[in-house]
Amino acid sequence: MNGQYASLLVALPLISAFFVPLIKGLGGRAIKYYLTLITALQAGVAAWVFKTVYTTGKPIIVMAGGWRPPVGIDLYIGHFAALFVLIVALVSFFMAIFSFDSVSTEPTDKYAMLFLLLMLGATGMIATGDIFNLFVFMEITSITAYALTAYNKTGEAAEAAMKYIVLGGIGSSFFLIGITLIYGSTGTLNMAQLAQLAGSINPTVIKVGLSLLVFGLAVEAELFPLNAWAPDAYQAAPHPVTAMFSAFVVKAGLYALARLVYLFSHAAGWDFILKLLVIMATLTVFAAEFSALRQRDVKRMIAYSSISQVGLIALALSVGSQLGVQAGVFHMINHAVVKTLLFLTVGYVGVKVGGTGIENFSGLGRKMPLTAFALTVGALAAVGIPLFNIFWSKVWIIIASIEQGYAWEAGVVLAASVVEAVYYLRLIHTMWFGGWDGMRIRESLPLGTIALFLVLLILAIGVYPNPFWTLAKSAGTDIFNVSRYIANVPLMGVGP
Amino acid sequence: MFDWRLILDAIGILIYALIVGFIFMGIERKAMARIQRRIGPPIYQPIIDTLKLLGKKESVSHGFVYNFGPVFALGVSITALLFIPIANFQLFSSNADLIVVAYLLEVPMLGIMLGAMSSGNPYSALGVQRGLLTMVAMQLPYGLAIIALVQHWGTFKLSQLVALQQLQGWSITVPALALAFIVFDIVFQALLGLEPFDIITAPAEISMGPMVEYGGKHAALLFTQHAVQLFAETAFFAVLFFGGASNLLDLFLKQLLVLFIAIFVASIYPRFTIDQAAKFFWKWPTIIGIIAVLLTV
Amino acid sequence: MTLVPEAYVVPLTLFSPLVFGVLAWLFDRDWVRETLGVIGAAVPLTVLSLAYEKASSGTISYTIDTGVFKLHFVLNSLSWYFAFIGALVGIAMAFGLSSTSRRGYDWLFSLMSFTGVMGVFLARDFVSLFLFWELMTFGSFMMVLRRNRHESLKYFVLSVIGAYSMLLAIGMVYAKTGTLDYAMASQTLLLLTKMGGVSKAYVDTIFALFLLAFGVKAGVVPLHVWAPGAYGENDQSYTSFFSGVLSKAGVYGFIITLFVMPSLYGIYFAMGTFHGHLTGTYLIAWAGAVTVVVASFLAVLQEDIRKLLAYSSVGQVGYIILALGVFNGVAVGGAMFHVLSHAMFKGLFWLISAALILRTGKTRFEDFGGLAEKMPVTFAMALIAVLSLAGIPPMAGFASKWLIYEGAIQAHMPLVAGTIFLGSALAFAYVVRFLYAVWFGQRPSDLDDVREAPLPLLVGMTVLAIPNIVFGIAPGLAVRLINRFFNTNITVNSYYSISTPTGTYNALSVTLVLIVGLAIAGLVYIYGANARKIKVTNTYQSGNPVTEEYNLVIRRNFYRPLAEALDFWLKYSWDRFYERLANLSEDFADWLREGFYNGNVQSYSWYLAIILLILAIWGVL
Repeated sequence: MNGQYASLLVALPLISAFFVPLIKGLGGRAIKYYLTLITALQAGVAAWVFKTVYTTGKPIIVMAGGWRPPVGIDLYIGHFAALFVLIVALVSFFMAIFSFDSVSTEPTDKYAMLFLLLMLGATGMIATGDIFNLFVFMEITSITAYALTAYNKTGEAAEAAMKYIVLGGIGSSFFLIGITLIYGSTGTLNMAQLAQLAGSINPTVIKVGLSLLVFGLAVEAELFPLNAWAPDAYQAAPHPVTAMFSAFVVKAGLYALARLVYLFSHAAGWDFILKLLVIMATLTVFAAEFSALRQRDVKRMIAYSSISQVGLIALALSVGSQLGVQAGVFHMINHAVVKTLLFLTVGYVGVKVGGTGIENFSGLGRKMPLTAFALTVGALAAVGIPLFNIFWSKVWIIIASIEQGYAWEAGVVLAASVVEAVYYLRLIHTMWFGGWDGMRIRESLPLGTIALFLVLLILAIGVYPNPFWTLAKSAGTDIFNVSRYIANVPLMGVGP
Repeated sequence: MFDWRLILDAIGILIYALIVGFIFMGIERKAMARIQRRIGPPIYQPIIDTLKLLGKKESVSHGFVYNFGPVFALGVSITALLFIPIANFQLFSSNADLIVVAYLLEVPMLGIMLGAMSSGNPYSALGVQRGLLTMVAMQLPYGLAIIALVQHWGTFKLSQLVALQQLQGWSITVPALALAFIVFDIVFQALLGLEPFDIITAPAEISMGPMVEYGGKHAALLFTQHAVQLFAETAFFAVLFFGGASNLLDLFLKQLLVLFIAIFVASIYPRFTIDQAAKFFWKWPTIIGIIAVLLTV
Repeated sequence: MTLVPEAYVVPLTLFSPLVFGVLAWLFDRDWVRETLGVIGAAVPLTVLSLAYEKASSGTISYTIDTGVFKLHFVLNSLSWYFAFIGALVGIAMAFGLSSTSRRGYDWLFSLMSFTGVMGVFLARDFVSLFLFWELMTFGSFMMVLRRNRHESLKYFVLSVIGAYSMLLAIGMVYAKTGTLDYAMASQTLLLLTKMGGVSKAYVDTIFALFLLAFGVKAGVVPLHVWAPGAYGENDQSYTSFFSGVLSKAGVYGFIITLFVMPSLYGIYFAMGTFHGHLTGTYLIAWAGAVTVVVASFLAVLQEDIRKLLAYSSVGQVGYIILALGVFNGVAVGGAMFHVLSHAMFKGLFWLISAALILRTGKTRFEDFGGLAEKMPVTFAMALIAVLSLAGIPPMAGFASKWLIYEGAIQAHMPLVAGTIFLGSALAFAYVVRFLYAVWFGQRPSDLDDVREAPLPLLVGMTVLAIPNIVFGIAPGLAVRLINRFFNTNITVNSYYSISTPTGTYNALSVTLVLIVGLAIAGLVYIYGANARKIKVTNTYQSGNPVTEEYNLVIRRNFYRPLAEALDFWLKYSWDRFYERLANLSEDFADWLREGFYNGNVQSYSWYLAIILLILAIWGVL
């Protein structure tokens, strides 16, 4: 099949989102079925794209309108994008199934629309090859995220959404200014051409521009201290949405950050940006782990844990070596799987037991054994116990940091991991050895299947990491190896 | 197969040690009495006492361990004795060295305590407790003194220690070892159970401590054990610090010297309580011991 | 050897405990579970015994390829020695568990930690070491988790700190040498140190991190605070394995850091010497000495039998660490021998404690008394264990202690040797306490129908008691094996007699003379009159007859005078220090969170502004 069908990845959710009002009349259940259908289709397309890219080894370049870049906008679906688009689609599919039980606030049609647009935005951010297009998709992602945060219509949700809007808005504005500066000095918006011209731009302009770009993306990518909106937003959003935030929205931001930073690797002052990112990332890990220590609400606790893992990914991406980027990508995969599982199970408990405070988890081992088991596996994986997936990526990240001379940062990260182990242990103990009120709750079959699938995936990656590590390596090289990126894009040769 | 000469030597020394040990016990009582301006019992009194005790018609027992304790204690004392080179008789000293002997000299206390504990008398229990704590307290200076000695001479073998001292002069003549001698002497008071460290028996306080329940042949065994132990310990002291001896008379004189120092000190001092004893041992003797040890490193 | 093909030796030893443990957990039925568990523990022992010839003269290697990493295992004389000790204690534990535990859960996790320990001993590269280390810790942790949450948390946090230090150290080694195999990594590191490619501080940090990791497991002060709780709040049969073998994994780690990676000689050159001793090992020796003193004093003052045994374990492992730090041939040989004797007598002690708790249900000394008549076999075992721990010839405990004494004094580390003396006396003291409070004296009325320990437990105890005696009388046997992997200066004159350059110990002659002495004493005894047996309450009471209810024994605060003498030092406690530290961290966490994530949008915007400012300043400059 023609590679251009990959544009369906963008077109499908967009069109389906706007068809939702037509289905509104059929009722809430129908909308949710529709959502599931669309996400399933998206997953199918993504799987096909993944297979194509990985078997041929060449990226799929979709040129919008047939115009060659830099005149037209292109979609660059290389190894990384193919992998992650698949992850985005799969996670959305699972969350669509989860929405059946967990989302009941009206108006569900708006929920479905926003859901599809969120998925679109993330997919677009990952797949695009043009910097302004990136901005557009980032805005789509952010705005739908704002709305979805406030979806539950509680005061808490509204406040969280408000904070997110303010901070995200500031970030996006500066991002735009950065783009403007860079466009002004190079005359092009295409990423490949920008990479080509990076060395010849005026140093001051490139420094300012790059820093503004990084700043804007760092808000979305939840780096310290710009991530203050995240805990509130994660807690207040509906459960499936939180899982999506954690699994791919933040990853899209991280990807964009990494992509842009490595594109400009020949620019002046690049080292400073990297060092700044390393410090921010380490502090993210540290602050988030400690903040999680005394949490009484499990969902918020896992939100903090998610933030710290994201900091770890950012650390890996900013040490500046190929191994680092590969390890970071591997951690992105593992983290997506684990956090989806965690938020799925926690959300499910929240729906069935009526709240996500730690007292609701007491005796869960006997109340809802399958859920408790899945949650335990997820928690152990998050801590980084060997034989679970995150262990391997963490090891590689530590090694990459030490190789690049960041041994202290690695030490801080490990110290913070001790703290992580403590609070997850408390959760596990409460679940299995806490007091049980004698009730047994029936667990839903589809969600149980999803959870079990994710558990098996975690164990599979943990015990046989090699195939996945190879995947991550090629995806990582995709980001790191800029010259190949430039070579792959059929530039028209129109200069500044 | 057996070295008959050695066995005969051992038996001879054993009998000799027994008699001389009892004599030492008698000298102890006589000397104390004289210092206190009494006449005191004759020197051979302990022998008479022991024979009397052995001759009693019946004694009581609290069980197997109660019986076994004194037997064990005496057995170990004899063992310890046979591994010390006595005068010019090497006995078995080539088979075990200083550390083994030092240990074996402390084990009889365990035997007595085992027996005492099984007797069910609270005074015995108190005696056991105090005995153990005394041992804990004095072990550090004891160890330091021995270490200083070994470091200086560079060997653990007792026969070699004797030989080296006869070549190069007694241990006391070496300044660092003179300090070790002082420490060992203080510890020796506790080993013998004399004032100021006789808290273990504390007569008139806890009625003879661990030995309170023992009568008849058990007491006889304990007396015998004390005699053998006394001989062994004084001989050990002599070997370590006074260059052993070339014949029995020489050894006897050195042992008497050591004994008299102990008796004189004992007659002056009152009794320490156990925590006073612990604090004392861990202060000055330990400090002197550390100095001695650092001087010989 | 022909019974088991060479290729199967290592996998059988490694994995059979875990497999049988899982089976025992699945088929959770009486007798099925116990049989499976005992088989699972017996397999490594059998396989290792059969592989003795091959392992002590050559090596047996085995590799598992997982794709990302290759796991290498090797069975040479050093790993065989440790693995064999582990397997021996393991089978005793299995017998003990048959009596004390009725749960598949316990079997699963105890055998899991068994596999973990075997893996740690047999590993030849860092990845296998780390993976099996985690497995071992996880198994033991789950055993504690069931019984006491607070203690398990302490154990967990300290173990995790240790594990992460190990991970960091391994990462640091890998980053500079590119390899994870012990031998290759060590040679590369040595080369780099000599050529200046690696800084002194880097190598020092690796050393310190490894020591931290292994010190936690071995229970070196100040990292020992998890031990009393974890050893005590556990199935006591399992604790025989936990304390007897898992702590040796920490010791084994020390050995790897100091010997198997000879490059860490590079560390020695990096760290220099101090008064003629290598600084690195001098520190280790002092750490061991402090552990011995602190733990032994604390053991003397305990009121609960499990805590006493736990502190005693910590102290005895301190002996081993001390001897390793002394770092001359005799001392290291002594340390290895003490690994054997400690596993034997401590394992035996814990099994006895298991028997006591199983039959009486009591754990504090004040509730025990007079059990020697009711549980005679257990009492005999207890005597053997006591004699061995107190280091009385001719038991195994004495032989190893003797070697450590000799080594320490020869190496001119007098103060360290002085603490050994002190530690021995303290061991005497707490062991006598144990004997007195539990076995002698009056019996409380609620213990009147206590029966002897069940047969499986007795079998387990015998398994551990026999080596105590055998290796005590024939120390040459053990030393001969130790000489194969370390160049100690201990000559083995015969099976019974060993000597160092400065001293000799002929265990057989000591035993014979002892028997003769006992015979002479016995003769004197028999010569005397008959002894009439009387009740224990019939004592010298100054004419005041007592009844059974009158308490004649001192079972509480037996060593109060010592507590009074140490009054000043007892005000400080490592345990309280750690608790305070933990509370401080939690308060810090709260402060951080409230300070930073305070819910106030204005402050969040300020954070953005600050970052922008930083970027702007950099951009302008």
